[in-house]
Amino acid sequence: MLSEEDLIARILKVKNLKENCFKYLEDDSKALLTQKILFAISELTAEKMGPVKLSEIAQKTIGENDKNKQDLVRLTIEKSLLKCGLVEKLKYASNDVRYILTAYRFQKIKEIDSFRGESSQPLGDVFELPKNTWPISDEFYLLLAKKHGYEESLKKLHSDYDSDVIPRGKYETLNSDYKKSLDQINEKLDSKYSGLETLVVSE
Amino acid sequence: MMKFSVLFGLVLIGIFFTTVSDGLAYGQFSNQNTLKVSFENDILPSYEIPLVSGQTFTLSQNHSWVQDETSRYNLVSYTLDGETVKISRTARGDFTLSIPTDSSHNVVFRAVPQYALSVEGTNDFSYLPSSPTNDNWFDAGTAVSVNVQKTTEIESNKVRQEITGWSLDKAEFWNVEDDGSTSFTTPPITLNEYHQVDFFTTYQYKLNVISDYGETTGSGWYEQGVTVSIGVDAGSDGLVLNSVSGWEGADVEYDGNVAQVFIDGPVTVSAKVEKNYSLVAGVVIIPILIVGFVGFRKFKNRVPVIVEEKPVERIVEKVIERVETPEKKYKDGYDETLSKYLSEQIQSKLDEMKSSNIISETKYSKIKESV
Repeated sequence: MLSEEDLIARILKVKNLKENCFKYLEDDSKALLTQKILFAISELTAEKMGPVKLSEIAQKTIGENDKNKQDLVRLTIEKSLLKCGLVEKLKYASNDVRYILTAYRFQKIKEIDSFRGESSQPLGDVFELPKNTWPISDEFYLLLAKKHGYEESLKKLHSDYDSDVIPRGKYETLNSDYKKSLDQINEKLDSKYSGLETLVVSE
Repeated sequence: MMKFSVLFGLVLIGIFFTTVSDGLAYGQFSNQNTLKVSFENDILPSYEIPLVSGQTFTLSQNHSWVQDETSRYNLVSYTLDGETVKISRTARGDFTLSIPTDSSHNVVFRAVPQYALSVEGTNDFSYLPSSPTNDNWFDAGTAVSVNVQKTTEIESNKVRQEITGWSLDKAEFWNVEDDGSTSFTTPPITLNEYHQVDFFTTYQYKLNVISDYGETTGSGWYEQGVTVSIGVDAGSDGLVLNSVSGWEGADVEYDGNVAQVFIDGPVTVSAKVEKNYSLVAGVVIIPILIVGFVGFRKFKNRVPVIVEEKPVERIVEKVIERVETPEKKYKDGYDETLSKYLSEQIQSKLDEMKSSNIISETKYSKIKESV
């Protein structure tokens, strides 16, 4: 199985895609099996926190996972998504092949071929797959929620102390305990989940 | 004779053209530069690519590829025309190398076999030494230890996980002794095949014993199912004694002397303390009453003098008032109020993340259960 760090690296990365590959993410392709497969892999990976099997993708996209349906999904993945570098194929064993997205944020680019050599130019904004399909552990969301909780509770504690609702001793004990917990949460968010908080909470 | 001369001439011309055309073909082949790519110990088949003069050629090779079900190869270095260069090691992606096309070249890749070391049962661990590819894969023959934090707080100051033992490949089991250290390091495990380390844990819950007066005993971390004796030395405020009248916050078994709490989760219990004025009465009020009574008897036999009446009861009231210096009364249970507020705020943030489509429905339900 992939490590949590590997999954986070896939979220932080912005992958450049040529127009012919970026089209699979656009609204025009909503009805295409290719886009359905992309979104299915994304959702399933978030649930399982790891690469997913062909049968699971087929079940999610088509609603059936017999051999014919699996072949259809495999061909679609191999003909388009693997070639474009949108999906990675991982072979765990001879009979255990799984798929995972290479990234969750994509930049459409136009390749320019000039006498100076090849270069690329970004087109439009970065496209993000829905955040609720990003493979992020429950712990991260819980840390975000707790961070908010401790920040708000400390505000209340200060305000209650200013209004003489609690004695000084109790205020200082609680202030120290809550601050310590908040510091521990921030430390973990900054180390293990570095860069992720800004991405997740930004609009 | 004439015919013979013509035939001889044609044969000479044929021989001439055959020689020239062979020469041209040989010349064309000898001008084509090539790139020969091979792998040390023939771990992958060699191949040869023609190089087109004047165009840049980029050689691409996967950093890692599967060897068998539980191992892989990972690139370490390459040798270009006899000169060896180390490759910055990474698990994924392609290594690329720009090859000059002005002449033929020879590239030999060197890769080493790697095996994975999986760790289950905790997320708070590190490898010693760390993986050369920054994941859980190690070069064959490397001896690796796993360092794990013995205690992980699941919920600050409420629930924590304690490592109690570990196993290698689900075959051998060892206990982790409580030697006072905060972390535990396994003996080195040599990676010549896939290995799995499982850590076994137990949950512990925090018991907080609090009181507005005096010092409490019994606070600490306990495993589920144990019964803990708690107590409070409530002390006194001068002559006013504090005495425990009961406990609040959990099912505390209290018979007036000994209090016990059954640990079934994180719990906070607070002592109900009452003020006892019996000592004030014994030491201050009764002597005053006696002095007052004696004084009254003495003055009763004298010529009455008009003085301001100061009944004994009034003096007693004054003394009691002085002993009971009014102090600011604070509401009990502020800890619980703040803790409840914290839970509400955590819940509201989770709800907000769900409604903003940051968390999926499934994850939200799972997290909500754990909060």
